[in-house]
Amino acid sequence: MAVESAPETEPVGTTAADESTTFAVEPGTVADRRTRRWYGVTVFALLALGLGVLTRQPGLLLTSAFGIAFAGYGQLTSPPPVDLDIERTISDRSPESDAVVEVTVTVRNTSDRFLPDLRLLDGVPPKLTVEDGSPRHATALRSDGETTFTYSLRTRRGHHAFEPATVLLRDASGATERVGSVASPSSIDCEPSLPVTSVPFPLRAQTTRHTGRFPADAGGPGVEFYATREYQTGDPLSRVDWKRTARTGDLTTVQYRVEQSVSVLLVVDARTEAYTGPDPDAPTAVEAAIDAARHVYVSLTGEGHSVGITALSPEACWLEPGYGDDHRVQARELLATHPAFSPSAPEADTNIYSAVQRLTQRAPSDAQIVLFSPLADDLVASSAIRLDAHGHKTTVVSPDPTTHDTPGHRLASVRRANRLADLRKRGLPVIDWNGRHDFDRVVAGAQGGRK
Amino acid sequence: MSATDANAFDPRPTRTSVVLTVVPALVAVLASAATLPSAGAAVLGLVVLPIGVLRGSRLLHRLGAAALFSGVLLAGAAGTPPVTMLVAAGAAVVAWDAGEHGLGLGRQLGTAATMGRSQVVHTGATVVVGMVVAGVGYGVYTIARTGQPTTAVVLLVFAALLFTFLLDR
Repeated sequence: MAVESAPETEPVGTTAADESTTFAVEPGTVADRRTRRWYGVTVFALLALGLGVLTRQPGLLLTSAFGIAFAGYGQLTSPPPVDLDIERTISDRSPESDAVVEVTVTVRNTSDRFLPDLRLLDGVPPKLTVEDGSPRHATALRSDGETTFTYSLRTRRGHHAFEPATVLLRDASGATERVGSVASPSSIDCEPSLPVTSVPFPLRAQTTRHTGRFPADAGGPGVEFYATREYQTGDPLSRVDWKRTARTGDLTTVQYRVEQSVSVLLVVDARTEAYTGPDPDAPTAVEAAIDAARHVYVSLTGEGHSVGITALSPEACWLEPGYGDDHRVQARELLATHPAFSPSAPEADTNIYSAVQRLTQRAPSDAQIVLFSPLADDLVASSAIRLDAHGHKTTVVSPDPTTHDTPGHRLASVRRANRLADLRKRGLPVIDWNGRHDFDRVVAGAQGGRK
Repeated sequence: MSATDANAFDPRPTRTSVVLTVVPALVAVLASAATLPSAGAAVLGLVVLPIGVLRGSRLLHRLGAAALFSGVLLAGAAGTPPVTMLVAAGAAVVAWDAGEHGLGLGRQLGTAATMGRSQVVHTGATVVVGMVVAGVGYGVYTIARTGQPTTAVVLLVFAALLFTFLLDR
């Protein structure tokens, strides 16, 4: 004799794992499901009835009536309407990356009915993880009553919109479950600020000998007139302003604008292939590449170079080489929220050949290129070689996404190491960043090694 | 989602569910301890039912509830008086209901969610309904016993109608 197993929810065959998942219901619509949870009690009542008839015990017959009446209670109630107001209070709507943000959700019952069993699953933005607390909540709520719960999220770069909250309402007996969805638009914009300073980034040596495009705010040898100053011992005679000396009697030296800066284009590999990481939950190599690009941008613009940003991605992304405060704001926004740098991999494939071609057409012909790529395939490595051959002195910064836990991962690691070695053999400097140290430190180390 | 934080989904019900299951199950055991077999089955239910709830195991919960209900039925077959039977059956239903509700909450929301109020309200409603149903049932039983056939027949017909209605749904 056993109480008949009563499936928790329709449809039959729903497994335990499915129950915890959310159910797709558009905001404003509801779906009702019979939970069938009182079937077991009905079976118990019928057994009591049969046993009571056999044994002629009034107690059993009464118990049977009791059981059937109870099962009736389960059928007679109906779930209340989904009339809820949800309000989210977010402690910081534009936080830094990898910060913890508190989300306080206030749920208000705007219907005129008592909600005996309200279950709520807040629509956490898919790319964010819950740090503490739970975005799920169950309570009973009287008409016009409200309840509050708090959880915290760990932020990631990008624009994160909250999805509609899923609401499960049950009547008092729990026989019927109503699934609804309540939208409450709110979002978290995580735009990491650029680092204040960064260590000097080693550009390719020969180009710094060329005259650059950026007129530095300093006097010295050059072309354009900058200033005159008093003659100092050691100044070349060719730079003495003889006319002025004749007029005033004092030796004067002409200074010209120093022009030794270069254009640099930061190219971030944001193809699907680059969205790799040590494990599926870890930040991808693209995140690391963008972080590195942020440092390099600050470092190079700090030295007076003119820096542009682009991506190898199906999304068009181009920031003309430049410098200054406005450019800095643009660079920061671009690296934080541009669709090409989305935290999730693009669905379309990237035609790397045409991407490289477009890049060489648009980039200033003397521009150096810094390519940020995990070098997860041969195509990107050969593209770096092509760019370098086009006269764009190319440096590769490669965040290492590989691990050594399985033979497959070890193989991927070895193949990446081979690509690195190949690039270095062809004279392209490669900065291998395994993520265990700060990027600054790795760059400083690479520079020390090169000197 | 990261597996290291609070988001590692734990489907086990909270401790409140276990308490709300154990207390009525204990009442059911006390009320159905008429004979050794009935007491044995009920005690088995008292042990297995909360373990099922604690571990989030629907199977154990069902087995425990089956044992508890068996104990009540055996006690009834052994001639337990109607009032005691109502208490035993009512307590067994409340114990099963609290456990089942807790299991459902645990699977949908996880241990980390706040849900105490929902559980107390749900079980409270079940207890109140159980008491009303038991009171009405006992009233009908008394009327039927004191020999008022017409009333009893009317109530019986009504009960049959209600039963058909329920089965139809």
